Amino acid sequence: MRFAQALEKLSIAIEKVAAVLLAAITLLIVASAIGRYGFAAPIPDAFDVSRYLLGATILWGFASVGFRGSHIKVDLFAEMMPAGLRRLVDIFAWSVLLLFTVLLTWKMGERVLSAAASGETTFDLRLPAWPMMALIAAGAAVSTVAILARILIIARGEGGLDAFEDAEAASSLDDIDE
Amino acid sequence: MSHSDFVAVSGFAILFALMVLRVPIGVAMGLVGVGGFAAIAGVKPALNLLAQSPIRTVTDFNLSLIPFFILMGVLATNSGMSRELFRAGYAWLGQFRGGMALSTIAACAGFSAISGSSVATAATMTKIAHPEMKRVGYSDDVSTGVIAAGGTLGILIPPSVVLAVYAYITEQDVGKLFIAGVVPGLLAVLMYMATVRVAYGRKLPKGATFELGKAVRSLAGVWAVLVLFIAIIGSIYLGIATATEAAAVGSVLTALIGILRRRLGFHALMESLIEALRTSVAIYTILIGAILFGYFLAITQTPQKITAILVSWDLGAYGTLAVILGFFLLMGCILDAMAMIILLVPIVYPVIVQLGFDPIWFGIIIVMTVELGLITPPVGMNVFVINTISRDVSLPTIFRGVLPFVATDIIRLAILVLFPAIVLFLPGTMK
Repeated sequence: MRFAQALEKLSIAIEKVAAVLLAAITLLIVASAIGRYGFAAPIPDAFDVSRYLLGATILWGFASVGFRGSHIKVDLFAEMMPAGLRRLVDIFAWSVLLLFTVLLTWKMGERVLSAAASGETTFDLRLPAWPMMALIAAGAAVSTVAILARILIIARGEGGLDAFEDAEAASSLDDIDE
Repeated sequence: MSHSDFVAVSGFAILFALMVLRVPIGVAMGLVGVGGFAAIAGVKPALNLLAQSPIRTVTDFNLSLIPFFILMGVLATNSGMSRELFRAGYAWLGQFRGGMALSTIAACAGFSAISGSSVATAATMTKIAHPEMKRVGYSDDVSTGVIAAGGTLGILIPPSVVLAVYAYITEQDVGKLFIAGVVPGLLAVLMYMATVRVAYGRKLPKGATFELGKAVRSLAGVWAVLVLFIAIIGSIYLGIATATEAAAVGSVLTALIGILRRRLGFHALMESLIEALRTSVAIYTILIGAILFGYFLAITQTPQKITAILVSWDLGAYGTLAVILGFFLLMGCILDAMAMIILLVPIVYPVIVQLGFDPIWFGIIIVMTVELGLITPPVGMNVFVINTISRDVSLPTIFRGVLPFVATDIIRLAILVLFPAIVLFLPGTMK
C-alpha cells in the first residue's frame, strides 16, 4: 500500500498548486474587471495571462483527475460486473485514456515548439506565449505519469476507479455542522 | 453505403462501446473524433487536430465562467448556506401542511441560485432536509422524492453550468440563456410546491406555528444569498458585466461572505478550490473531446444527414421535436446531463434551427428534458446520489416518491413548448 499512498500525497500536492493557480486567476479577472469599470484602466494582458494560466490549471488538474479516476464516465455497467472483470475493464479504460494523453502530450509539445519558433506573443505586452503554453503541455506530460500510476494501482489490486459523481457529491459531504 | 457513412456509423458504434467500457466520455469522443477524421482525411491532418484544438479549448476565455460558477457553488456549500436556506424556508413555510417539504423546495431553489449543479443541490439537501423530515414523521418516499425533484432546479435556475455549456456549443449568448431560465425556474418551484400539496397534502404533518420575529430573524442567514443572486443576474441582465466577470466576482464575494461570517477557514477554502478544480477538469475533458468529435461530425456531415432523415419522416416541427426529446430522455438512462448536452446537442441542433425553433428557447427545453432524465426511472442521477447518502432508503422508494414530480415536469415541459413566450419574454427585454 505504500506505493499508492505516496502517489496519493503527490497527487494532492499537485492539486494544491493547481488550486492556488485557480484562485489567482479568479482574483486576476476580478481585479481586471474592477480596473476596467472603476478606473477605466484594465490590467494589461489580464485576458491572455488568465486564459493561458487557466489552461495550465486544467491540464495539471487533468493529471489529478486521471490519477483519482473521477472522470465523467458511464459507471453503471462496470459497477454491475464481478470484481475480476471490472478490474480488467478499468485497466482497459485507463489504457485508452493513457493513449489519448500520450498523443496529446506529443502534439501539444510540437505546438509549443512551433509557437516558440514563430515568436507568438500575448496581445498587450507582447510577452512570448510559448512558456505559458509549455506549462500547459507539462501538465499533459505529468498526466501520462499520473494515469500510468493509476493503471499500476488497479493492476496490483490496490484500488479501482472512483465513480465520477463523487467529485461533486463529496464537497457537500463535509457541509459544516453547527 | 458511402465510405463516409461507413466511417460515421462505425465511429458511433466504437464511441458507445468505449463508453460502456468505462472510458472517460470526453476521451472516447476525442479518440473517435481523431480516428474518424483520420479515416477520411488521413492520419497526419487528424493528429494535427490534437496539436491545435485541445490547447485552444482549455485557453478559451469564453469557457472560463465554468470553473468560476462551479467554485461559487462549492464555496456556498462549504460555508453552510444550504442549512440556513432550509431554516429560513421552514420559518416562513412551516406553518402550512407539508411545510417542511415546501421549505425543502424553497431551499433547493435558493441553493440553485448560487450553485449550477443539480447533483450538488440534491446531495446537500439530502444531508440537511432528509433527517429533519424523517424526524417530524415524513415517510421516506415523500421526503426523498421532494429532494430529488427539488435538486433538478439547480440546472434551470441561473447560474447553470449546463446552460453555460449549451451556450458555448451553440454559440448563443450565455447571459440571455441565464435570464431565459429565470421564469421557467420560478414556474418549476411553484409547480413542485403545488405537487406536494396535491399529491401528498393530506398525509403530511403540519409544521410549527408561524412566529413573525423568528421568521424575520431567519433571514439574517440568507440575505447574502439573495443579494449575491440579484447582483449576479442583475449585472448580466443589465449588461453591466460579462457572465465570466460576474462569475469571478460572484465566487470571490461568496468566499468573502464565508470568511467574514467565520464559516470558511483556510482549509475549507483550499478544499473548495480543489473540489471546483476536479469538477471543472471533468467537464473540460468532455469539452476537449466534444470539439475533436465535432471535426469528425463535420467531415462525415453527420448532422446534415440526420437532419435530412428527420425532415424526410415528415412529422412536422413538433413531431420531430418530440422524437428528439424522447431520444434525450432515453439517453438519460446512461449519460449524465452534461455529457448528453455536449454529445447530442451538436447533432440535433441543426435540425432545430432548420425547423425554425428559437435557439434560446430550445436551450431551456432541452435542459429541462435532461433534468427530467435525472429523476426518471430506471436510472436517475439525482436518485442515485440521494441513495448513496441516505443508505437506508432504497432506490424504488425514492422513485415512487418522485413520480408525481415527474408528472408535473412533463406538464411544465408541455406548457413551455406550447407557450414559448414564457421563456423568451424576459431575455427579449435585454439590450
